[in-house]
Amino acid sequence: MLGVGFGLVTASIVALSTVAMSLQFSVTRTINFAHGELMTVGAYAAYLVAKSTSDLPLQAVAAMAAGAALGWVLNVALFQPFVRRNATKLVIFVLSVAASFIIQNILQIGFGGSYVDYQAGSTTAYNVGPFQWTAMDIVTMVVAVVVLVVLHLTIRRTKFGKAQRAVADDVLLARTTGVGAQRIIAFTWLLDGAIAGLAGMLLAAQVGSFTPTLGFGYLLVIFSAAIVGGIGQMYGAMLGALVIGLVMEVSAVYVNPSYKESMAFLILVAVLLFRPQGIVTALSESNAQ
Amino acid sequence: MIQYTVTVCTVGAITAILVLGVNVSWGWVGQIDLAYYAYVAIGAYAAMVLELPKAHPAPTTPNSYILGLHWPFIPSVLAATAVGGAAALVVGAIALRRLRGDYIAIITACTALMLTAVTSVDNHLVGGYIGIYGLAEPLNSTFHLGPTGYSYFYLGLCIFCLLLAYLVLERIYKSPFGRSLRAVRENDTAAAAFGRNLFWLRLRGYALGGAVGAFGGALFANYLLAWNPASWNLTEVTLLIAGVVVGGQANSRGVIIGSVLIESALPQISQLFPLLTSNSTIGPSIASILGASGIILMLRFRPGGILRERRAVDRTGGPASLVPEVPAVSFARPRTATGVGVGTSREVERDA
Repeated sequence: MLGVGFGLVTASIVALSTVAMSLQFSVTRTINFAHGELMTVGAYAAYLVAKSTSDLPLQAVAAMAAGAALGWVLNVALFQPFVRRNATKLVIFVLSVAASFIIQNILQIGFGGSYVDYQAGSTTAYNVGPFQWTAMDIVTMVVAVVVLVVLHLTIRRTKFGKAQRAVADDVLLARTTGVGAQRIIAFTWLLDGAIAGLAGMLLAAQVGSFTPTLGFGYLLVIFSAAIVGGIGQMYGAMLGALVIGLVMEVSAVYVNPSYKESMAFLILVAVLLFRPQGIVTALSESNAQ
Repeated sequence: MIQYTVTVCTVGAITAILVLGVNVSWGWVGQIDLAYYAYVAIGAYAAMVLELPKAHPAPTTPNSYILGLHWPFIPSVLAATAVGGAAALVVGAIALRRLRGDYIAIITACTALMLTAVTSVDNHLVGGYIGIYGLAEPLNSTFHLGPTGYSYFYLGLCIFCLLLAYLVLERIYKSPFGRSLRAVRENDTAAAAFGRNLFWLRLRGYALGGAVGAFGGALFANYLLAWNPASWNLTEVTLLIAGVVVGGQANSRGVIIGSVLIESALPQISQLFPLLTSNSTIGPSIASILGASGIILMLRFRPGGILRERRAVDRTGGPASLVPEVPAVSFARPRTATGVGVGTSREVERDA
């Protein structure tokens, strides 16, 4: 049961980051290998702010701002010039691999390669039902749920969300009907960066100390969750994150914890082999029949 | 200083072999293989466990390794190459079956990380985190060279192997198999329409790349005389891809130039940087940043790389075909429905 408790915390962080990535993917249709770095800069921003104040909301704002800024820069400086030149998806993927690598090394120069400590919230453990959580664990889960609900309402109820869904469906059609696709895409990157940055801060708080490879180490777990849920599907991403988070933490109870990530990848391989379209599409398909 | 140059050249030659392998999957087949370094590691581990005698774990370090057959150098390297190719065949059979390019990249990256986890955690497979060490200098039991003489000898051996790999790969590139691979890369629908089995072609190309990687890895392990999980990760793959992109995809001479620039020259230049600061990690970081920037700048301004892929020439006397505007890996989607290259289909047709 402890494993399930930890799994829910991990799933919250993975869910935030995965939903951010899925949102970006559904609108831009490109896989961003530098997504982990959005988390990493968020974590470092929170770490820098934590040096002067222990105010958690302030650290969260810093993390979100840093992630959003990086997301925006990636879009404007790197991806857009290539998208305009009609580059293939594979080329854009390679670009994002290079970008991820550059950002990691810049952070390495700035902060050094050794672990930095980041303590957020109290580490006192509480027993909640069968689970054991620290105050920060509970904050993490609440924040994740709140952000996801707000995001859901944004996408379903606001004009921006409607425009975003239109762009995700068909950029050309959206443009023809007067949607400023460029602006929507830019704003999506900001949103993606902000949520990923927040997830990075929560992740850093979970692990306690981190290096410039924090987000990169988590990247493939996030890809796993996104693909398991059905890539580009926001609600699928949440479900995928839940599956992946639980599998990782519960498996750590039974096998060597070093295999945590490998367990997530095994699920990914199985899903890609048998249900490449992900769980959620599969569900709606079977409903339709 | 001379000794230092010999070291740089030896590693450079081995790296060039590795880049040739990446070129097969990225340049010829048009797929990103992030598991590539796993095949290098598989080759390195395989060569070592074949060459070393049986493991006798000491009580203080209970790490051991499988096999320990005490084979001679050359059969071990050949066997390691085969093992790497076989591993790539298995991974490829899963990854290439029905997935698109970027998914293949993700699943290969996952495979590489799973292999890292297994090799690090299991102490009895290939020595866990500590890895394997204690290999004797290969072939030196026959030649009895001193340390300096041996380093020259091994450099010569590596350059010979690079030449060998280059010639073999050039031969394959020009063979019907190589041409079909490029046809699949340029336009898989057209290639399929001409009766090519896409999956089987891609899989063979992928396994070939893995085998070349394992060959380079075996040479590398025999040079370092030790190997552990820290010696390989996604970073290395990125730099190898940089070598291919900068040098020129699908052009063997180009990628060798690229690998020399990115993997040998850049780290040397970056060694100048620590003189400016006290932080010793800055040099490698700058080299990595420059290498990765090389990928972005080349893709933006010269997508074909330094040496572009040679144009396919129709030797039957028809008008020169294909590739004129499309660089090596086609970087722009066909803009119109007529994007199906006439040259591509002609090339496939000739193979049939």
